[in-house]
Amino acid sequence: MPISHTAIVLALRTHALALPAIVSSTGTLAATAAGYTRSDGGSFVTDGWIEGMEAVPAGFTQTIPGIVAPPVTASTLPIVGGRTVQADGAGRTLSFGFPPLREWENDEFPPKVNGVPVDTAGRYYVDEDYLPGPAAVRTTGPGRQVEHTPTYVLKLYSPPARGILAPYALADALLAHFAPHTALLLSTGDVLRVRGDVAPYRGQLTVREGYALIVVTIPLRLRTNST
Amino acid sequence: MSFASDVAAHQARLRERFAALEMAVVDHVEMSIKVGCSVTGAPGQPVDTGALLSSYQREEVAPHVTEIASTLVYAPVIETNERGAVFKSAVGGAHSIAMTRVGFPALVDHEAEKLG
Repeated sequence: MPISHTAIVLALRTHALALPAIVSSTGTLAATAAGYTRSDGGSFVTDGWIEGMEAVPAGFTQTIPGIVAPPVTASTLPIVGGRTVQADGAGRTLSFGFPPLREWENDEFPPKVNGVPVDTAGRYYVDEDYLPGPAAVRTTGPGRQVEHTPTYVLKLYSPPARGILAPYALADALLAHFAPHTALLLSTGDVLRVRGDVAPYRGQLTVREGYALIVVTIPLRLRTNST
Repeated sequence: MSFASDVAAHQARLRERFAALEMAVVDHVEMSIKVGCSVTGAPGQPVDTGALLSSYQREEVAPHVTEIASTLVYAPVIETNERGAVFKSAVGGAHSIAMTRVGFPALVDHEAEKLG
């Protein structure tokens, strides 16, 4: 079967979206003018929250994520710009993981909500580039195998002037998630593998006007029959 | 001829072949980054005024270490297809350094095969 770059990109997105939360707090949480508080005995510090992470709320009225500001304590999680006040409620969650804002290739960005573009200032978002790469025939004869070496690039945008810990945590988690030899089954039946001879790597954090950026590069290999 | 002289001759041939391979690999890497390459899949630099293409300079910074780099401020923006990157060229594209890096083993194999 000829290679399907569509199947590859869709599998890569699915895998990226399955990145487990890096930090998560679930319990009895409240929103305040300064951020979030908790009264369930849990600890935001123990859960791993640090300045610069993007707290994505679930179970709150205000669902727009917020950037964590210092100082984080066991019971308080300050958020830049504060939150819409909401009293304690059980079963609420705050998490930091793969950013909810994604700039998939050739999609409209920023996305619109009720016709209004989402404000991306001070937000995390991921921008993908899929590089189909070269191919080479590896076996001859009927059912010969062709090896493709595409590359998947994820650009991690984060707020500037918030230190390295939070964006590094996201980049490191993605590298671990796309570890060498990770196998992804495609809808075509082919298996896409993360390369080990040139393993995934990330670039340095660079700061521009309005954002910080880390680029994660994931080399891939796929062998398929060429019919 | 002695065993020692045979070994010395073999070492000399190896050094010669290594030098030839090194030169060929560096040439190929430079070509891949600047104008693109079918072995690595790198698209090469986009060319509008030619400033970006000519800004990539090659310098041997230490024995067996060659640096190919640009000092243009917008070179990394084009390389990573970063927010705000504008492509005004029908040729070239982004990620040429990344593609050259991930295609490096294939590039070296290709040049070694050419040397025979």
